[in-house]
Amino acid sequence: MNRVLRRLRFRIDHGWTPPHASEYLDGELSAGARKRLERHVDDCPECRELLRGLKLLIANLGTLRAGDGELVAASLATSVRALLDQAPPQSR
Amino acid sequence: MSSATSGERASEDALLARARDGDMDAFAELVMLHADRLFATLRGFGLSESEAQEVAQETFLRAWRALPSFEGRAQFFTWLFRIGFNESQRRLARRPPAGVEVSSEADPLLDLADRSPGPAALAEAKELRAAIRHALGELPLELRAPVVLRDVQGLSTREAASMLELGEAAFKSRLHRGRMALRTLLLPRIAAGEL
Repeated sequence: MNRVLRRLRFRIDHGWTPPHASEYLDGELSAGARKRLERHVDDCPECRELLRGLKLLIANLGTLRAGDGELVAASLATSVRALLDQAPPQSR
Repeated sequence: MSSATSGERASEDALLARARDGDMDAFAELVMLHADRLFATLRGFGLSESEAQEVAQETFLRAWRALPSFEGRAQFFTWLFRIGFNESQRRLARRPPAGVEVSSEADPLLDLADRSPGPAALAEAKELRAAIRHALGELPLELRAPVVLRDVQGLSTREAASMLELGEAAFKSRLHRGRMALRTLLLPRIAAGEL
């Protein structure tokens, strides 16, 4: 591929990569699209950095997942049960 | 986090059947099963700890009242989530427009965290989580909800899209926009290697 075509492909892929970054990280791109994105990222520090940032972000968002487990569950179950006890009986 | 296993599902179905017949103890067990996940999801939507507790409680009460109309087409948690999501929207809409409340309450994660890191590392981790929560809170709910369900709760695209009653393409688009907005908000920390 000559230089002009390579440059053209780079520019097209540079526009195409960011909107597909999430799907790539979620493993939801087709094999061909994945390959295209990886090829571009190899050549493009800007898109590589974008991908790295999103990957770190997603990993860190996962750390917000845990609540305080049984404590919240038990406390809510107790308060909900108490409120249900106070509520007038419902026809079921 | 994905769907319940068939054993858990069977047990949940049995509890649901009892709860539908008015068995409050069975319903309390359902609360125990789902409270933590619902609470964490509500926190992710930007509610403070006390708000999330109140909204979760209200969600369960509404679910109890509406239980006879639950037809079992969706999973129980999906149904519960939708009630909680609507309650969250109402709660968030009532807030003054000054901005997102950043909770100063204790981070529950710290209570459960591995105690081995030193206080400085724990404080840093807590501060980072607070920053991420704050950034999440700056997103409009239509972008925040997909990020919370997919990246915080770990649901699949399909499950999360279904919870928000969106098609997968629309969900993916919002998820990506939400992530990109968060990345922009947290860029200084990413660049500094804090994330």
